[in-house]
Amino acid sequence: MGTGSGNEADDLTSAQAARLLGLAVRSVQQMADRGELESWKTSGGHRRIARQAVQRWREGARTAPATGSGARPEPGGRRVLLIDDSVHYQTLISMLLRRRMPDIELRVAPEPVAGLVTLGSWQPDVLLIDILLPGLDGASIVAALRANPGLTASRLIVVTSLDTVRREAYADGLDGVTLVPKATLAISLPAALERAFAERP
Amino acid sequence: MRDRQAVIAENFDGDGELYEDYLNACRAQFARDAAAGDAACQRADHRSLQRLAHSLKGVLALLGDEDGAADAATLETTAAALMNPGDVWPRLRARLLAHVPAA
Repeated sequence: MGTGSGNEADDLTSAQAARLLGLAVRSVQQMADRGELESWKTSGGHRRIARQAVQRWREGARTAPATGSGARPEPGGRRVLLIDDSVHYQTLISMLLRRRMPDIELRVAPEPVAGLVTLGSWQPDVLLIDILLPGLDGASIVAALRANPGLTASRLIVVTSLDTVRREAYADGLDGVTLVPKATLAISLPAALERAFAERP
Repeated sequence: MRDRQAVIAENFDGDGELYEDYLNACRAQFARDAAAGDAACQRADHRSLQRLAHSLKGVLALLGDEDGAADAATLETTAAALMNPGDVWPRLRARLLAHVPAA
């Protein structure tokens, strides 16, 4: 927050940005909070999104540098898409990858529809997906993708807070899929990603 | 709260800087979570409360706040029960109607 042109004529409201990006207003606000869209606030406290940031995002490029190390992915770097509606886990995974695997280009979708659109258009090397998502659970998405291998070549990794007992309800759709418990993300996720990258055709 | 060094070692792979950066980010988001929870309570939106509690349960445990994580777990279960009354409401409904004289 705080970047952007600072010129209200050049910048967009959250609602305007959402319409241009085809996303929910809340999704745009979360992207701005994470630094994925350059934004600032008016003296009245109203958020404004940099028009150029929206245009770059629409063209498929990452925009504002993320917080933390500021490391940028190398050209041709590895691509990871995260579908998770929890801002907390979006933040943790973003920070973790910037520190441990700075060559990775990460995109985040806060809900399934935006995630599937990005999956199709961006074709990440790896899809990280939560099980409990608004509207459509991640296990159903994973099962559908596995049943239709022509849809994507992305390797699949499920991240979840569900304990073993509660995961049983989704066992059929997740059989054989790499699963990383959110409680051990910092320890387990980098290694799981390296294995997934190594398995790419 | 659990011992900070133990939390860093067990949950952040020994990366103290990651822990501090993440804690600071969480603090900013917690204010928004509190507002979201208030709004969900006001409109009796049990599904949103359940989702919020589910997320906070894990995050607070990661940060070593075991009491907070326990409260979030209780709220998650409570909110889920309110969304899915199971066979309790049909049973209660039958009992209510059993009191109503036949027309």
